[in-house]
Formats: sequence, C-alpha cells, structure tokens
Amino acid sequence: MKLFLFGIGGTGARVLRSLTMLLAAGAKAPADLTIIPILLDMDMQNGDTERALREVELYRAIRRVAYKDTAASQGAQTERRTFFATPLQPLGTLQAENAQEKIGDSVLPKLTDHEGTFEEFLSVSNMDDIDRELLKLLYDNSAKPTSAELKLNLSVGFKGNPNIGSVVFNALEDSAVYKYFTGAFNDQTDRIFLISSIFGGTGSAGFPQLVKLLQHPSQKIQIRNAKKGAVTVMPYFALEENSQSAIDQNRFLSKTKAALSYYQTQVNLDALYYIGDRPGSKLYPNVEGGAKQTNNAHVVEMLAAASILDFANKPEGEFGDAKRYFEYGLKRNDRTLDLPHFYDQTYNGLLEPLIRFAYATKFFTDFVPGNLGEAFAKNLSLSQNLRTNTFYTSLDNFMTHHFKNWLGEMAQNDRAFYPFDMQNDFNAMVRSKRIETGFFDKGISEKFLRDQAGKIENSLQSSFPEPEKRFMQLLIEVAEKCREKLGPLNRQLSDAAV
Amino acid sequence: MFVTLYELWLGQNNDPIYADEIFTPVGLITLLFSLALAALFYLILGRWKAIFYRTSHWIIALVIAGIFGYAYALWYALDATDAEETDSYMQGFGGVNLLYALIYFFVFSLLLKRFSIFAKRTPF
Repeated sequence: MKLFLFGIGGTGARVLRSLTMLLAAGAKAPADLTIIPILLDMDMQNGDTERALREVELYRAIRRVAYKDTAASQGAQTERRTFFATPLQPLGTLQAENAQEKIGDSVLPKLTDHEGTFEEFLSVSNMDDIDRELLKLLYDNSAKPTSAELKLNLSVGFKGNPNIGSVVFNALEDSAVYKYFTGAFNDQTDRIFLISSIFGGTGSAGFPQLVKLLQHPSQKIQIRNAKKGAVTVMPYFALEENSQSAIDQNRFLSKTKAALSYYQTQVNLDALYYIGDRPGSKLYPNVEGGAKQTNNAHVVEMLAAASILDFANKPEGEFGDAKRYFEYGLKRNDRTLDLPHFYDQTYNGLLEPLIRFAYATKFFTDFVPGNLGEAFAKNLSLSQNLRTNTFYTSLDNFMTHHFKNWLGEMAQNDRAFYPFDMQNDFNAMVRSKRIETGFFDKGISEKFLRDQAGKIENSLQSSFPEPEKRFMQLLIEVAEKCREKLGPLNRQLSDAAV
Repeated sequence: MFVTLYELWLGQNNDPIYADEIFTPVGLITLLFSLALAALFYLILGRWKAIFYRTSHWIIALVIAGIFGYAYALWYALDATDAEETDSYMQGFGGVNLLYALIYFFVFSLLLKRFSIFAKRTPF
C-alpha cells in the first residue's frame, strides 16, 4: 500500500520530521506500507522544511543499504525490519502515466515556477481597471512588511495569510507536481493523507483547496475513491513579539475558529484528526519564513505524525460512509510528559519502538566508538568504515545530529516530552525507570554490551555477509537486549504532577 | 617425533633415558597442555563472556604455556633421572620445551581463534 502524504507548509515539514523519527524507530506500521511524502510549500528555503528534507534523505540513504532487496528471509536467519523499516519514496521516483514533465526526486517539488510578488502572480498589470480596483478592495496594496499582501514576495510563503495562499493553491491542479501525482496514483489500495496547520498561511490555505481538488468529479476514479485522511494542527505554540513581522499570533484562534466552521461543512474525508495544545511558556521566534524558521520539535508534532500511522494502520473495513473525527488525549495534563502519560495505543505503537531506538542510538554513538578493538567491530571493519563509509556516516549524522536533537528539543519545549536522558548512562537513560544494579548485575554495562554485541554479531555472520546489513541487525538485537534488561515499566503516573 | 624435535636443539644425551622415557611424554603433555590452554582461551572463555579475550589476556595465557613447558620439563626430567638437582642439559631441555610450548600455543591460537566469539581477532 502506498500512502501519498501531502505536508503543507512549515507544519507539514515539522510533522514529516517527527514521522521520519518515528519510522526510524520502527513505529507500528503496515508491513507493505510505502510512504510518498510530498511537501507543498512556496517557501523553498524554509529552515524547518530544509531540515525535514535532510532527514528524509538520510533515512533513505540508511535504509537503502541496511536491508536486503527482498523482505524474504535468506540464509539461516530471518531479516528483522524494525529501524528504518518503512520505505520513504519521493513522488518523482514513482512511475507516472501521462506525466509530461519530470519533477525530480525531491520530497519538496516546485509548486510553481513563479518567483516574485503576489501581484505578479495574479498578473495585475495585465488586468483591466475594474478588476485591479476590485483586487485593491480585497487585498492590502501597501509594501509595508507587516501588511503587504499584493506586494508580498511569495518566495517565503504566505506569511500567515490564507487569503493569499488559497489563490495560489487554486492553481495547484495545473502544477507539474499534481499532474505527476495523478499519473502515479493507480492502485485501489493506495491512500492519501494531508498534514496542515489551521492557524498559519500555507497550510490553512492549501488544505481545503487540496481536499476540494482531490474530491472533484474531474479527478480519476482511483483518487476520488481512495481513502483519505488528514491531520489538522491547531495552535500549540506562541510567538515572540515582533512588530516587523506580518504574522500576528493574536489572530491564530480566530483563524482557527473560522477555518473549523468551514471544514465542518466543506471538508469530507474518511478520517480527520485534530490536534492542538495550550501554548506553553517557551516562545518561538516570530520569523516569517526562510532559512531562519527552524522551530524546535514539539510533542504535538510527534502525535500529529502518529495520526498518519494510525490512519495507515486502519483496516479497509474500518472506514464507513460517515466521516470520522479523532482527537488526542493524555492521561494527565502535565507540562512535562513522560512515558506513563500515554495510553496503551501510543505506548505500544510509538513509545516502545522509541525506547529501543534510543538504546540503539546510545549504543552506536556512545559505545561503538570506544570499542573498535572488539572482535565484533573488527569483523565489521568499523575502525576503517565508521568515518568514511556513507552508511555509517549517515547513521551517525541521523542519530547524533537529528534524532538526539529532536528528542532534546521536545524535552526542552513547553509542553515538554522528556522520556530519555541521553547524556546519562545506559542504566539511567529511560527516565521513568532506572535499571537497578548490584554486585553481580551491573545492568547495561560496557561488559554487558560487549557480551551482547560479540555474541549477536557472531550469530549473524553466515546469514548477513554484508557488514552494513549485519550491523543493522546487530543494532536491532542489541536494542532488544537492552529493552529486556530494562524490564517492565511501571506505567502508573506518580501523584506529583510536573 | 618428539625425540627428533628436542635433539635438534640439544643433541643426544649420554643417558638414553631422555630419548627413551622423557622426550616423548614431556613433548606430548606439553602439546596437549597448549591445546587445552588454547581451547580454554578461545572456545570456553572466548565464547562465554567478554572477560578474558584481549591481546593482553592472550599474552598471559602464552606466558602460562611457557612457564608450564619449562617447569614440567624440569620436574619430569628430575623425577625420571632421580637427580638431586638440575644440570645444564636439563636446563636446556626446559628452555627448549618452553619454546615449543610457546610455538604450540601460537599455532593452536591460529587454528582455534575462528571458533571464538570475543577472541576471534586475538592476538590479531
């Protein structure tokens, strides 16, 4: 099954970032799932988008080498696929019928060739006087940075103005990327999912337009009949005061209310997920777009990404004729969340894999470099390859600079999600349970890891002759052993609220 | 075979007891001891846990093999010849047996290390 995932605007990119992390950790997803992420954004330089793209690229580079071509078991042992298991494939790499224009293999295909102001996009200079005057009634014609509408440079997105974005997205149907999508969408089991925010510019403009387009009678039947879902991210952060910025956070709630009432009647999807949060005390920089817009990861984005997997995991028969709405609830409304704050579905589907991946990350980044003289490392030629081989450098980059940062950003945000202390030793890494040690049992010690790595690597040699594939299996199994050592977690919340 | 190996270095002793009763059992026991030591290092400790498997540990095992080779040769020769104390031939025999113990352990290391887990790359 292919899931065509449209991420619209900066929120789309941030949720895709979280999804990439969850998939890297092996979050529960159908075995045959391939995700086709398509970011739709005019702001091609956006920092959030650029970071998400880099992470998807790293994910793909790792996955390409980590597993055998076919999922079937070869040799004595069956290949385990947990970390980086689900393929992420850019739209441009799919076969597309009748696609006249190639769109490249980026997850962020160009939405339009237009570079310039909204006024130029509308070709105002070619309009007759009456149309021009009408436009001036509808849009602010000043060039002031805080209120520019017609003079707004579209290369940084719509700066929180869905009234501009909706006009631009109206032309989506004629874009090369949409034509390619329609050509590539051929299977009845394929699904479509949309990510957008409801309080910004690009997402709130693009989402209803895209839904309308996907349901239009002129669309091919496979697209019209496909199961469609969406997550709408409502306000969850507050911005710093910036009188020079066109983004006015005081309008977030009013824009949300207006959009929700529109969605109620105009948006017909099989599953619609809503998520939001009361903004915390950590203020985000008020940046209109561009490379400087790199917001810290937030647990709301992770849970929005979880909705994508929830949608993908739903069996075909679960979708009825009626629209289904989903919201998210925690066990308790604390400002710092830990593993016990989540109910079983999230815990089993997302958090258990995250625990394992956190152990794998710590093993790879903290343990392996100091143990290159061990037999398992020598058998894998790690001392030669760790800093030169693309697979290992990509894995190191992903884990050290992206996964750990992602966890760190969520831990420092408000509301915080702080389940792991990656700076601490293995026994204290999972904050909700410290592994008890004694005279005979040192928990997850260096010796324990050396034992496990040595034995596991030795057992994998015949089935996985290629070192990179063997190393991925080693990571999966070492993480599993660490998880076993951790033992059952107490998932009852303690009385003291944080 | 052992008689040849020892007389290659030591020459023949006037007392035929060395060729008849000492060289072969000492050579055989030294060989078996080195094999047992290598098996203990690579197949038992080297597969059990990551405790005794590094090159430094291997050198300790090598030294043990050498000490055994020297001490066992002297003890056996003293016992077999009923001598009160060692002579230069006996000392030389101990030294040569030490050398063979080292060689046996090294060769068995090369043969057995592939079957180890933690000491697969020990000593190289």
